[in-house]
Amino acid sequence: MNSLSGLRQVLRDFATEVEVLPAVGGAVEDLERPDFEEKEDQAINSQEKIFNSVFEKDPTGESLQLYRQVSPLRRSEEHFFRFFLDGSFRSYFLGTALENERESPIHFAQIGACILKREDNGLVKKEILKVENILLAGKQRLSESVWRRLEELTETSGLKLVDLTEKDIVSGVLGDFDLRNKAGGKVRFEMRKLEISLITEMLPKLPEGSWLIADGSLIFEPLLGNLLKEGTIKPVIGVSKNFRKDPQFVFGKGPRAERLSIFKLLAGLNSGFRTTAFSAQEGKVIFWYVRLREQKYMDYPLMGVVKVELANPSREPISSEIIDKISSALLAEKEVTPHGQDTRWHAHLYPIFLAERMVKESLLRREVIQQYLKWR
Amino acid sequence: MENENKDRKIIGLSSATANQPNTSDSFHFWLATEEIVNPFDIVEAEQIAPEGKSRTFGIVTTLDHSTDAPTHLSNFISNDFGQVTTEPNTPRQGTTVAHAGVLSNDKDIYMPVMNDKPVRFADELGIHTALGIDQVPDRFRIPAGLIEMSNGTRAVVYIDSRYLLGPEGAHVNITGISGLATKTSYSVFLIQSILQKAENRDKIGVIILNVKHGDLLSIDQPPTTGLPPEEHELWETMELIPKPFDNVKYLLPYGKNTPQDGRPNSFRIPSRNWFTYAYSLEDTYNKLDLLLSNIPDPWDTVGALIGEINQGLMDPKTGLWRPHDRWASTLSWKTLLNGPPLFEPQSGQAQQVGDVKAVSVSRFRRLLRRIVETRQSGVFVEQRRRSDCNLSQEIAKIKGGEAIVVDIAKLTDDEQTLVFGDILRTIYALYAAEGIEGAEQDELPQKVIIFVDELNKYAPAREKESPIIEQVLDIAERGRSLGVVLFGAEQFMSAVHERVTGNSATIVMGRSGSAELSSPVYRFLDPAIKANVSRLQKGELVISHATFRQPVKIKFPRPAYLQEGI
Repeated sequence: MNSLSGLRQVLRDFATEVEVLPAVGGAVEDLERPDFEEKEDQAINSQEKIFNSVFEKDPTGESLQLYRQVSPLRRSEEHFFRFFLDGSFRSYFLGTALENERESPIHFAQIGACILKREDNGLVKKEILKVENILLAGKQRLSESVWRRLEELTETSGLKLVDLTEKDIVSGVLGDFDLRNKAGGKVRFEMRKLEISLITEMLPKLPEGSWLIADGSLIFEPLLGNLLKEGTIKPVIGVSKNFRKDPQFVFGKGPRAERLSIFKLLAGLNSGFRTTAFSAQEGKVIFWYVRLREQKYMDYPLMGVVKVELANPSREPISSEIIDKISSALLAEKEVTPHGQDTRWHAHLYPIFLAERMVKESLLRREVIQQYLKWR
Repeated sequence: MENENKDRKIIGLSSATANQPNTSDSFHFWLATEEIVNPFDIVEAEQIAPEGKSRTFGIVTTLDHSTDAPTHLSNFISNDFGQVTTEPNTPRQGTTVAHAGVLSNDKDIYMPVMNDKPVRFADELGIHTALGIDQVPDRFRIPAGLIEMSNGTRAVVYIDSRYLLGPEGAHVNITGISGLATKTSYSVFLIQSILQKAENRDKIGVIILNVKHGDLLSIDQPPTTGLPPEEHELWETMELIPKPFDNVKYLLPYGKNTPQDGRPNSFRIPSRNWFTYAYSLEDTYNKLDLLLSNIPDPWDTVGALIGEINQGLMDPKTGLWRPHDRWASTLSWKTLLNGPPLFEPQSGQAQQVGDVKAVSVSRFRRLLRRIVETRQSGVFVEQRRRSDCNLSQEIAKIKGGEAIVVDIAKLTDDEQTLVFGDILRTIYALYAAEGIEGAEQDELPQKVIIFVDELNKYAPAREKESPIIEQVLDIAERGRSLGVVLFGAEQFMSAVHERVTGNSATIVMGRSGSAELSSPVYRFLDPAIKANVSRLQKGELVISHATFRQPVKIKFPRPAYLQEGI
């Protein structure tokens, strides 16, 4: 509650500088867009649409197939994935600041990220948990003096001030016209930054043979840069539940090359199989898809599939062995689903869901925020 | 307190939610992984206080395990759509939540326990504080059993003698399924505990009725093979000595074969200090109401005739036996049944007596003949031998520190009712009568404990009035002030008159069926406790005592006397 008392003071002081149209009820929670992950995937890979580089090599020298069978690698055989990262946030529209003809929405958000560690017995424990309080406003929509005043106020109260008008890769997918609409993307970008800081902190501490799964894509800087350093593959993968639906894949070469839409690619992907790995970002990242659940139980072929990303420092095709192992270990994570609690249950990994839950439980409830935040 | 707490592990944290808030009567706590807690464990939760902290004690009533699966279907789907052999890499998140009823707070703060407060198992002192035992001065403490908690902590449960033997409260009622509830063993153990620990224990007399087999006919003998070491340990933990009764007198019924073989009508003959008792008409004429207690008498015709007989056989001045006038020749059961004034041998007809018509007299004779002649066990005799005692007179001689065992196991139901009623009436008269003074008064024990099994026979719930019920109610309702204490046992408490159980300051429950526990007499129990009572193991009992804030589960040692089959 201390964090909120600082914010309350900021709002009161700020209200003396500008005119404020408060949100109904003091604060209105911004709803998360369910397709944002997909939009994000589209935005960060906007340069590439056709993926024609198969970026793996079979150690036995056999020719590669489009789909490779993998069998679950369970914790009891080899405890491969031990760390799980996810982030979450709650964002609120607090009101509109009016300064002469200028106006800017004011948002408050709590963002958090958590890494869970899975013990030998399968139980999870918190490894790192960070929560930040941020205040968002449009710098270009306010006068310089008012923005400076806002900077001073937030600095003294332990809040992070974020400029809604600053360009970034996530909120870039949303138009600049309505800053209030853009705030969701901006908060999400801040959450991504927090997640990256956790991965960066965790990387040197990862025990040998223990891998970390991060929810979502790895293609964010400075994360990707870190993962590509020193030439060896870092034990971190990014797993996405929702991914873009517009890429095309080319498998094979010459006249026999097969061109597939993602629908076609995944419709042919059976349970217990993975696709071959493709390259993105000029080989810096390789990615593939793994089907966790049988299609007969799903509503359409894209359900029950996760997209896996691995940073590839060598920028050369890597051994199928490591991709198979990662896929096998992922397949063993399919049991226990958040069915009934999350619409993306079919592609959700339970420890990731728990990490998200851990963050959510650490954030203040909407009722608390609404009751606590007053402009006067 | 804080230093003490540091030594004890935190087993969970209190939890209050929107749907399940903590209240001043109950709180919840989730359990740390691998902690084992069971119903009836006593725990303490950290609580605020004006200075420092206080402890709120609670007794665990139920435990729930819940997971984050909103439906069973979620679990089905999580197991790869119904695969039974899959072991998940990450087990589903779940927690066991214990629900605890508040017993007390050591600083009398009955605020609800706040969220996320540490919860620990209570230690022995804490258990005593929780139950209010710490408020009972040592001299009033009677060991009643042992609480054994899931973490191995043991605490002696003491009951307050002022609520066990009077004057604040009295009586014990023990209920439970036969064979599983160990009612007799517990009663005898509690009596032994009283005789070893109560104040003025040498001034407490005990009367025990043996109602089945020879169970209680060797209470002055040690077990042939001794007690196992673990039983010894239980005795010693309670600072009691495992020894049989010291001063026991056995009163055994006269039987049909006693004139021939000299043996009483008992399953077992005690090794020493036993006497036979019998009932002649002279011993019974003023107790015929008890003998005929089980006979329905809606118009009081039997009662009126018993009154006439009493008048005829009793000296109007002294109140003692002296048949007179028309009753002068009525000296035995035979002459009562077959002679005047009830019957005229010459005409072969029953006669009207007072206002009681001949037809009613005839019915009375049929009933009495069945009880004292045709279907009797042998305890009714024409003339009592010199060597046989009058039960009432023997009971009246009871001394402090003495235990009298009256065997009624082989008697018929009517005979058992007579004997039990005779004992109650004699004891009640001893303590309630104003005429006893001086030396006689001094010799009387200060307290008399009467133990009887199958109490429902004598004070059934369904019947409203009968001479034996009146007698039991007299003791139940006035015994605590007189010093007469009833230890009653039965299979079903619902079958016992509610004024008897209602007056028991201590109720002990062994395993009971759920149908029985649904009876209104168990409404004092929390529904969760009821469910636990139906699961009790042999030798486990739940005790509810006037000074305890909640019933607790106890175990007790095997009594240190020779029991049949052991």
